[in-house]
Amino acid sequence: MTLIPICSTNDLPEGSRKTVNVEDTPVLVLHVDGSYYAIEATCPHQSGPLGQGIVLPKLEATFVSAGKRLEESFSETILTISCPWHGWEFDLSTGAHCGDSEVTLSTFEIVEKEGELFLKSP
Amino acid sequence: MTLNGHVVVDVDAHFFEPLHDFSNYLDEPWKSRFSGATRGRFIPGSTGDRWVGGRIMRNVTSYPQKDMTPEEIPGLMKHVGLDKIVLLPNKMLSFGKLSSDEIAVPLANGFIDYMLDKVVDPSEGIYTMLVAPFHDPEESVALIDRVADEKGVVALCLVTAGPEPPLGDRRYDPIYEACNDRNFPVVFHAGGSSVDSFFIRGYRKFLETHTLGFLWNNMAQIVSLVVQGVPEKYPNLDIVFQESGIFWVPLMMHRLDAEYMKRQSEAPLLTKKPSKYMQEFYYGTQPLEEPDNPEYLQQIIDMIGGPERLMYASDYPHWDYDRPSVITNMDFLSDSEQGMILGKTAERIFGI
Ligand code: FES
Repeated sequence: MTLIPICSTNDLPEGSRKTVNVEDTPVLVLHVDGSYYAIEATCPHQSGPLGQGIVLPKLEATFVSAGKRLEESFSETILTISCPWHGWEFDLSTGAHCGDSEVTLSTFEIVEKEGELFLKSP
Repeated sequence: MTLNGHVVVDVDAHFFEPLHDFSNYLDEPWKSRFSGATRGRFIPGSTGDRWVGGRIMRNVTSYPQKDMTPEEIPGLMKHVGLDKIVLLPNKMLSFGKLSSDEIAVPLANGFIDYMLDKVVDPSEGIYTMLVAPFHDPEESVALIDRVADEKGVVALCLVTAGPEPPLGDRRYDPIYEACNDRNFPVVFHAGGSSVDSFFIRGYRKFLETHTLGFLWNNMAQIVSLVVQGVPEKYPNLDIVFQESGIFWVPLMMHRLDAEYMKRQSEAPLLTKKPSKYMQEFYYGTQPLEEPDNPEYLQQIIDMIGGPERLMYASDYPHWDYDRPSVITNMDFLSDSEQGMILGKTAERIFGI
């Protein structure tokens, strides 16, 4: 395991993002809702720029009873990022495509040490 | 009878019911209305010469010259080589075109009573399906409650030509719920009354219109069914699609998957790709595509999920019926795989 320096916490304020390279693989680092996320930045579909994608809570639905509309709501725990080219949507924490977990991007842990952010590379 | 030692179950054949006989099974005022009605007055048919100018004939049934009688069924079964047969009353295939539940509900009740009284005979291997008046889901459930336990009624049938909104819509949930709770399979069956819409649009030959007419209705309904999450809402439901051959299935699997991967949030109930659900459905084989290169057929069956997803169907006495030999001719299948398609799977799913 190696710790790859990213930047100081001041350089990645809430709502911002940046791309770093992990062994030639671009990785997107985001600061959302007080948490840091790191996910491969290239979409596995047609190599779209996932780093430019919108971040949203995952849309979830519950089947309540026969004939009733589904109850749809945004997840309180899962955030997603969508590739702007064709909409493939990934769980920011696990890297899994929201519709097919067989398609999963690598994700990385971000650690903070004395005001500096590091990406944990396996 | 058996074929190569396998029981042959035909999951889709048709009985051409005489209207005058059938009308006795309706309550008034429909009994009077029907008994005096000319064919097609209440139940729309479709245009198109099925018999290619007299080239195609059916010698063992009165059809197409006349309606059939129940006494003809054993001869029909012998001719095709069937041990068990699931017969749908033919006029019910126009069910999707009935505009009003005022007609659909009494008809559905009358038809199943007629079939049970006059046609169905489990001791002789003769069964039917309950064609649901989907126009009125509540009445459909009442009908399911009334006849689903009858030994001769093996499944609910929803005719795919016509229903609007399409059959994945939540208004039909009570029908699926009733079937799910009773382990009563649901068969989605294409219908000929839809082919006319292609004639209206300028197709000149029946060959053209029949190529698409049955197929596109099954396509339309399977999209709705999967995307709206019916298999997630009702996971016990055995779902069968009939009468469009099988090559369309991989097309829809891959097309739906491609859409879903880009717009998953529009189908939030799904927990896997549409193709995975479709690989859990069953498919009647008729009219089976017969490519020159059998490897194509083999690949299609692989894509659908293997021979366990298929059930032999003849569609007899319709003009494009298939004989059981379409299954035994598939040399790439093992003997037991052929047996599964010819009858074993149908026996298990339909409990016959
Ligand atoms: S390239 Fe990302 S969705 Fe197509």
